[in-house]
Amino acid sequence: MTRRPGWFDLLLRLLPRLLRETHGDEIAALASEYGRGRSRFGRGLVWLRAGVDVVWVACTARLRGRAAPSSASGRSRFGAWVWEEITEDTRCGLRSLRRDVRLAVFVMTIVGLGVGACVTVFSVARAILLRPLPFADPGRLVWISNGDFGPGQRLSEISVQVAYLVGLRDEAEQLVDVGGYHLFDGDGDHTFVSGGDPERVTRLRVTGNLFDVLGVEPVLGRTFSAEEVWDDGPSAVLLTWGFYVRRFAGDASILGQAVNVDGAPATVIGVLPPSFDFTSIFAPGRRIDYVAPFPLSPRSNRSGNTLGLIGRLAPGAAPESATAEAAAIASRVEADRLNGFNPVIRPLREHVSGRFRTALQVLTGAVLLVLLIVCANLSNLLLAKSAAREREMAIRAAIGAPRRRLVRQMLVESTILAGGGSLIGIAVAYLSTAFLAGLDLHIPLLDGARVDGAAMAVAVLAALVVGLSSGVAPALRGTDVRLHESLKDSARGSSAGRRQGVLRRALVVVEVALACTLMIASTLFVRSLFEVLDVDLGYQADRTVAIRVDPTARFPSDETRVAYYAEVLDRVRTLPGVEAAGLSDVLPMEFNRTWNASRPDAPPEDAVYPFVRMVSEGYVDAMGLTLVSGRDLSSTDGPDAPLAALVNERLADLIWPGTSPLGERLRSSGRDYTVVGVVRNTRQLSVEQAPGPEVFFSIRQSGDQSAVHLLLRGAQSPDGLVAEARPRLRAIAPGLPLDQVVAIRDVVDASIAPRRFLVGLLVVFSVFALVLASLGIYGVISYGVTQRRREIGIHIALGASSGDVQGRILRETLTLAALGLGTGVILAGAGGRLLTSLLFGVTALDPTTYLGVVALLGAVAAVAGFLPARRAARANPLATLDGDMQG
Amino acid sequence: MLRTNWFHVLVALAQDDRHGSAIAQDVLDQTDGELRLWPATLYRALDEMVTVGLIEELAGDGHPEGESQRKRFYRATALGRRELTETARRLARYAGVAEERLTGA
Repeated sequence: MTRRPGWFDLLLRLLPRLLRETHGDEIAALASEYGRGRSRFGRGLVWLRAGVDVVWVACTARLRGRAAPSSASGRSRFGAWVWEEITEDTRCGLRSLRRDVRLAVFVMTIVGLGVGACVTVFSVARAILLRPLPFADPGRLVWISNGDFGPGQRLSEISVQVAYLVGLRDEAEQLVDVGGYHLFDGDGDHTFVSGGDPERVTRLRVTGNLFDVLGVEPVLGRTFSAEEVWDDGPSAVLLTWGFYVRRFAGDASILGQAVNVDGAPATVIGVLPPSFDFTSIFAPGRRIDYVAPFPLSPRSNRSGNTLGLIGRLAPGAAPESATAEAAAIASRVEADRLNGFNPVIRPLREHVSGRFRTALQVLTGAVLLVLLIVCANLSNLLLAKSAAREREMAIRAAIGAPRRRLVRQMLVESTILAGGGSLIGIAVAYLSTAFLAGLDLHIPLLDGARVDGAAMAVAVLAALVVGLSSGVAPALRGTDVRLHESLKDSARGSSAGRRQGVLRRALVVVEVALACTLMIASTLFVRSLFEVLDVDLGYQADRTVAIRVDPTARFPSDETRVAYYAEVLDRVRTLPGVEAAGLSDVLPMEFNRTWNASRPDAPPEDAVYPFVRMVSEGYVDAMGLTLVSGRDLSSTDGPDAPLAALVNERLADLIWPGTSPLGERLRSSGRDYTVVGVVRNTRQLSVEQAPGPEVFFSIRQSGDQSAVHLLLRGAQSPDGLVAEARPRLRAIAPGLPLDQVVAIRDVVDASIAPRRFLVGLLVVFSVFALVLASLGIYGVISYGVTQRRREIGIHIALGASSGDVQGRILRETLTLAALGLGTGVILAGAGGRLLTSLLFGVTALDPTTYLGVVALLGAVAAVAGFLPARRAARANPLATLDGDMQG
Repeated sequence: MLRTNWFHVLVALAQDDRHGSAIAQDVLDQTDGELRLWPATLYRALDEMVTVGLIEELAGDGHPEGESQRKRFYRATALGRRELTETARRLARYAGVAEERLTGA
């Protein structure tokens, strides 16, 4: 036995068993022999080198080991030959990469980042747009809305009245079945008691057949029976999987038990499967705890527009023909006391995530640009490397390697690099996809994004495309060497070398152009985001926090209700940190409903449909609205006082154009109000949508609200305000759940989150593109300078100043950059129209953006070219020339 | 064409039978120290060359005297010698072409 380091024994275990058993000791002995007579340090190095060799053999033995038995087992000679060739190529490829580890690592990193970005975007797009919805035969499911459904639509307008659902369900032949759910159930509207503290829970009410329409079966128990979906039928609830696990720890004995919902008993009849992720699909960012039936009855019909409809198309039916049929049915059903119904039927998938398609297309385009830049960059690097290897190629060609073989080997090399890159890319994609899926961005289905088999396939495909496409040019150029030219003089630029220079410059121009396009696009989006952040919301979002305070029990009378509101306000208003406090039934950007409103004497068709808010005095101050004229609501606007209303400027303009509405009468939902004040417009639905008409009624004069939020405004942090207010509120009702708290700033931010998401990714991509492009410029100029050091040396020797030299090189750099930038600007201009629908407050051809990006990229290019230029100018001409003579 | 390593191993075994580390030493000498066969590479090459039939491992009693029993000795087979001759001739021919062009240019 030879003395050897323990780790070496471990490494030996990597070897194939046969080799290890027969030669393990001999291998160690020889390594030890190589180390004999050297210093301790030298011996260490020898062991290290021998260890690398062992690992190398172990890795490649697997490749080759398979070749031997397969040829013996009688596979065709051709097959064996092909296999032999491939393994040989791979071996050569690995060996040559091993010679330049730094380059290999660098290349794999940029390919990895490019592929990673590509796979991440693919995974996200797949989750949102491509992967089938988790329902039975989802391709036949359709969303039936009342008119077109766009982002931030008013729910009252697009929802449908019960009678129409019944009509469609019974009469439509294009639709096998139609179900629906109630659109106006708010977060935490209900209180759930089943041992322990009461908890605010969120209900979803569905028609009895909705689960049949979707093809969803409960994992435990059953769906609603016919009696349970009648008016006043037995109270039954289905628990969602999340609530079942969270509240009941997945204990199946809850089935059939009575629980207390809003003070009344209800039976738990079943548990929905985890795959039924209703919120992720229909209401991202929210949570549903239990499902209750929504009866289809004359009584529920009287509630007006309440339902979102989901239908299942008959086999062979198309959404368009179903829409036509539904319109015909709607006109037959339409009768007295019915709201209008203008059916629009489109695939459910389209309804759920269609509005994100353009954004995802932009991201896909961006990521493809990045991948192209990676290709160009890689091509460039490999070209430079192949130039350095001209001699090697020439010698190999001289000893009989056919060119085909050399080309193939170089392709294999770049494919190995790309393969390694794709492994890094998959790791990058895995991490970034998990990160994105974990963000609460209110984008449907995003939380289901993951790197799956298809994404892996994309990674491998992308790597192959990158590897082959970036390998082709260098392979053809690099092997196209005339033997004597190369062997004779590698320093002097051969004609092949010059042609290669042209190719490399062209690649740099392409890189700069693509990077420029990408940066222009992402700058447009960044500016849009700034514009959005700059929007005047009409209220002050920063210092206001909302606490849900509706009491657990129903009020026996209006007096108790009004007294409750007064008590809540009185208790918090006197807190030292509170500047203003008010009540509202709705928070901005969230729930919305519209009522009709008009002058009392106007015909019904002149009615407008403002958003309705039930608020208390102090709301205007607490939200930071601006009172333009008149007065705020006051505590005296109670049940016995004349009905009072605040209107916003938009509503005032619509109903009383040109005159002051103060003191005027406003009719809404059959009641007449007096306008007491006018407030400035606010953004109700989203930051990006222009304000609509809005009316504020006194919460003391109307019981028609499902929630009560207490809004507090103060200098403290939202948490501090809430902590201060909580004990006082607890004193009113000890069991009052006070867990639903949200800062208004967060509400606003959440509504911008999808835009931030898009901008964030684009910025990452374009910074990456910028870095790659500047590396590309640097590489080419630097290489060119090295190639021509002799020529430069002569110039300097003949009296050219270093400034002349630098100037020439910089000019060359800027010419390349200018060509690239020009092309990029043209590309961006041509593609800009595709972006228009996603931009906000900035046009697709915004000159400032174009100029800024061009200036930035130009400056970066100048720096990238300046460094090699300075090096060249500082070179000692004699040393250069001298070195060249000897070289 | 023989692989480079195989070529040098065969050169090492062209006159004498040798064991592994002696082959490695001889390859170093042949190439003026330019080619050092690292151990795992060497022994794998030897195994493969045995499999292919370029060299053979000597049975126990074929060991030249004075060498330890533990070491395995190798000898070039007829096939190995033929391949070596073939490759050597070819390399010489290429080298000649190169020489001629370099001096003639």
